[in-house]
Amino acid sequence: MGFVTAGCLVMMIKISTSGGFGGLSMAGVSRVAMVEDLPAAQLDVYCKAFAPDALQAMAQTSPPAGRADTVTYQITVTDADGAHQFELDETQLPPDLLDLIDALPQD
Amino acid sequence: MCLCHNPINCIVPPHMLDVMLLRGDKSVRKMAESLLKIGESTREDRAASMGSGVVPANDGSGTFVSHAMAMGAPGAHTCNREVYDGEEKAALPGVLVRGEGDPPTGDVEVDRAYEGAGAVFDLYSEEFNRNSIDGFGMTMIQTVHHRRNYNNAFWNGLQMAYGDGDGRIFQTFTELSVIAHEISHGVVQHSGGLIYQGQSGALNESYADVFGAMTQQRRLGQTVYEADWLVGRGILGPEINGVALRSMKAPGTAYSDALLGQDPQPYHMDFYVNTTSDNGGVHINSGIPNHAFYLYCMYMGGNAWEKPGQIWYRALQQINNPHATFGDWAAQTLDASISLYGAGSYEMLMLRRAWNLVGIDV
Repeated sequence: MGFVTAGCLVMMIKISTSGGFGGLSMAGVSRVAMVEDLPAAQLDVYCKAFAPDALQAMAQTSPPAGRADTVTYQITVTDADGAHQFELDETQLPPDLLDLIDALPQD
Repeated sequence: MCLCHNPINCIVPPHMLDVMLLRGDKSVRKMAESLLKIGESTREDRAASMGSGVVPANDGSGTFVSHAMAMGAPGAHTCNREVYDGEEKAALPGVLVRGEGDPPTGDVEVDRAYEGAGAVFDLYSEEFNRNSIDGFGMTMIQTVHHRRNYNNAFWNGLQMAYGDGDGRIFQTFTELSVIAHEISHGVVQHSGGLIYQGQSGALNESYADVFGAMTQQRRLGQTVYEADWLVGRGILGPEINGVALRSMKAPGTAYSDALLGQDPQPYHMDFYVNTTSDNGGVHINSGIPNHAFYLYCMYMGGNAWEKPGQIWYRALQQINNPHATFGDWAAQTLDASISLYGAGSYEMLMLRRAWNLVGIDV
């Protein structure tokens, strides 16, 4: 496994969730994706969407006041610099990114 | 010594900034958000310089009055529903498929969301004189088929969204108590708010469950003795060993399943769960105030939306403390019972007993 795949520095994306209407951990999502295993056509999309800088910018925003029952995402992105961990409410994630998460196979 | 450079941040305590974040308009929220960020880093610096490693937590009551309560509801209430199809995508609200007065679509999820929101609107309007979520006729926007295999329903501050479930753990979220639960989170937000963390978050959850169950009972014409007191009946997958997601009558018994484990809700403060997950166990410890409401209904008899519901609703409108603890909330309900039914009334005495039975002294 190389550190750089088609110009992408991200190697691995790990996603888990907590919270939600039921507060049930088993109802949540658990996804692990090796970027080099993703379809070539999607590679650049995932790389940009899960770039640590992009996730950091999302983490700087505040979830909407008054929200309830939303899911919290724990996202770990590993690149050549190591593991970058983020905890984000689903309302902090753009819809396109959520759709990409939904498209990843369940761990 | 104040280490910050912004004088406002030195004066305004964090709990007030939380309130501004919750209740302010866009510019106020932005200001509060930036001050909180400065405040967090300042407190971390301060704690580090003191060698404690602990960031001090502040608590206190808010200073705002519920907008809807203060202004009063207009005479003519207007129900306005919009149901959108999310088409299994995350973008909200999606494609409008049924507006107010439109005929059924044939899509079960769409039509249940539409009818359910109508039942919630009627409860608040006819029993509590509240005109929709905000008290001013706010359009109830709902999105069904939200995302793919999505095991959740939520209120995002502006609208409700319901997944279809993965078919294994959850099979639907457009059950009436769930719809009423989510809409009631909106009512909490527009009644001053309860911070979604720890005990205040569990109270936010409990209020939503109470009004979820109440909507269901009213729709079915059930007295408190006839009701099943379940939240989310029938939403669990067919293979899950459970009847619902939560039980107000017997917290901790809604499900017991190899995959999900045991329903973790406590019914008494002795079993309060201290946890950092789920925003401090908001969906777990809500079992305690849920059970207090159930016990009180058993004392009162009749319909839940009558005396018990009136007390709970009034307490929400008047609590004026987004950081309220269970004790604060219990005291507020007692105040509400006194103002509605008198000091020393049967209604007040039984309410105190209900709270005592779940381990909360008032």
